[in-house]
Amino acid sequence: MIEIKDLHYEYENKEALKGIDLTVPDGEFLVILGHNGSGKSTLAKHINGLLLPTAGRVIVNGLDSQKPEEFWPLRQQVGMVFQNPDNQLIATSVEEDTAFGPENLGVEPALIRRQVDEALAGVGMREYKDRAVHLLSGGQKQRVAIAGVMAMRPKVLVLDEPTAMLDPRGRREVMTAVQKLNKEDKITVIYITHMMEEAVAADRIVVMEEGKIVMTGNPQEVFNQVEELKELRLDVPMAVEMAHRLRQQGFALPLSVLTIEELVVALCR
Amino acid sequence: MPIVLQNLSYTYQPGTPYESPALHDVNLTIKSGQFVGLIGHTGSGKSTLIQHCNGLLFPMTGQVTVDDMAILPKSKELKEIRRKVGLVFQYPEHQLFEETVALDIAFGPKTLGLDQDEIQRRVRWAMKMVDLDYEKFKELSPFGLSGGEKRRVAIAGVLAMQPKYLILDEPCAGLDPKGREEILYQLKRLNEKGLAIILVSHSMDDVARLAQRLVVIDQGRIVYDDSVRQVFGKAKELAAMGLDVPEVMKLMMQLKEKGLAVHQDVLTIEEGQDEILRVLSHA
Repeated sequence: MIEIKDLHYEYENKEALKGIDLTVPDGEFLVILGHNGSGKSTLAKHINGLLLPTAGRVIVNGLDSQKPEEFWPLRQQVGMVFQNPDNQLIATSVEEDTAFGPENLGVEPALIRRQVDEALAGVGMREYKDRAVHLLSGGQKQRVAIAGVMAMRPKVLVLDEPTAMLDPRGRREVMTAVQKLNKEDKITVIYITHMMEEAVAADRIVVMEEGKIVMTGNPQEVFNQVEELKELRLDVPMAVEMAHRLRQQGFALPLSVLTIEELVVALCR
Repeated sequence: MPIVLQNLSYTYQPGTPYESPALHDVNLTIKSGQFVGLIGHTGSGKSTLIQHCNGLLFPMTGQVTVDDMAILPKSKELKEIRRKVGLVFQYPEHQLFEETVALDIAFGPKTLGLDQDEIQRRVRWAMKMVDLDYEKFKELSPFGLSGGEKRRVAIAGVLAMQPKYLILDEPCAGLDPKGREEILYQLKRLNEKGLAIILVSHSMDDVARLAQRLVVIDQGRIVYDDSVRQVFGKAKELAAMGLDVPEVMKLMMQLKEKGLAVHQDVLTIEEGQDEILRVLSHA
C-alpha cells in the first residue's frame, strides 16, 4: 500500500505540491491526469524517493522515504519508467540491459538469469533477448525499459507518460504489457498520461490541478464530468464525447459508456 | 514552386556492418500552401525524409530541390534553402538557450543580417503567431515557462526566419490536450496565411483534422499519397503497418459491422455525430 499524507513540495520558492492525500491499495491501477505543470510528475517522483517531501509523508509498504534506513528498501519496491525509452536504455543487448538493475543490486548470477527471463517474458520481449537495443522499435524499447525495472522485482510500477513518443502499435504494446503486469502479477500501477483512451483502463483516476487533487473516482465518474475536465485543460475519450453529444440530441445512452465497443452496443440495441 | 524529392534513396553507414537502408526511391512533391500529414511507425524513415527537405542530409541517389534550388553539399544556396524550409524537431524546447524569450526567438533572424527594427518586427510577429503575448513574455526566461509555452517559443524561433515551408516532427508529443489543441490551431492558422505545413505525427486524430493530404511511409518507401479520406479508407493495410485510423472512424466501422448504414469515411467527431444522427433518426 502507498500512503501519501499531506504532501507538500517546494522548489525555487514555488509550491509544486500543496497538500496531497492519497492512498493506493496493493494491486490498484491508478491513472493520474492533469495538464502540463499540474504536479503529476512531481508527485510520481516522490513515490520512489527521487524527490523528498518539503512537508508530509510518503510511505510505501510501511517504508518511509524520509527515514535514511528505509530509503533504499523503499526505492527497490518502486520502479519508474519515463517518456523517452532512449534515455533509459544503457546496454547494447536487450538481455544485458534488463540485467543491469539486478546486477547492481548484487543479485547472484543464477537468480539474475531467472529474473531477467521472467521480466522479459512479462512484457513479451523474451524472444528478442539477444537483439541490439538500438535496432528495436519505440514500443519494443519501452517494453525493455519496463522489463529492466521489473527485473528488480518491484511491487509498484510508476510510469510517467510512457507512450507519449510512440506510434499507435507501440502505444498498444506498452498498454497491453502494463495491464498484464497489473492483472496477472498483481503489480500496483501508477500511470501518468495525456491519452484519455488509455485512462479508461484504470481502476481509479486522480485528476491534479495546481499541485492539488481536484477530482477522483472511477473512469465513469471522472469522464462523465465532460465540461469540468475541459476547464482543467483536459479531454475525454472520443466515445464519451460522442455519447455526451448524442445525449444532448435526445438519445438515452447509459453513463457507463467509455469505449467505442460500449458505445456501439448502446447504439445498436 | 515546390519542394521536390525525386528518386531519393538513402542508406545509413553504407559499406559497414551497420549499413541500414532508410529511404528507397522516394518521390514526393510538396506544393506551397499545402497541409500535408506524414505518418509511419518509428523507424519507417519519416525523420530521414524530412531531414532531406532542408539539407540536413544530402541525397545519396536521386535529388531534392526547393523552389528549383538543388540541395547539394557545396551549394551556395543552402543557407537560403534552410531559411525557406523551417524544421521543428521533436521536443524543440530542448534547444532553447537564451536568457529571455525575445532573445531566443531573435537568434535566427540575427544570423540573416537583418537590421534591429526588422528583427524586432519578426519577433513580435512570430510570438503573435503562436499566441504568446509580447509584452508579457519578452523579458521572461524561457526556462521558467510551462511545457506548452516553451514549445511555442521554440516554434516562434523557427517562424521568425519567415519560412515558406514548415516541417514539424511530433509537435504535440507530451503536451496536455489543451496544449495540443493550441498548437494545432496555430498550425491551421499559419497554413491559412499561406505557409505550407508538413506535420509528422503518431496521432491519427490530429492529421485527420488538419491535413488535406496524407503521405504514408513504410520501410523507407512511400506507400500511400492521397487525400486524408482516401488513405484512412485503408484501415486494414494501415494496421498491418503499425498505424491506425482516427478514433471516430473506428466507431463508424464498428457500427457498420453491426449493420448500421453509416458512411465510414468520417474524420472528425462533428462529422461522426451528424452521420449517426442521420442514420438513427431515419431508423
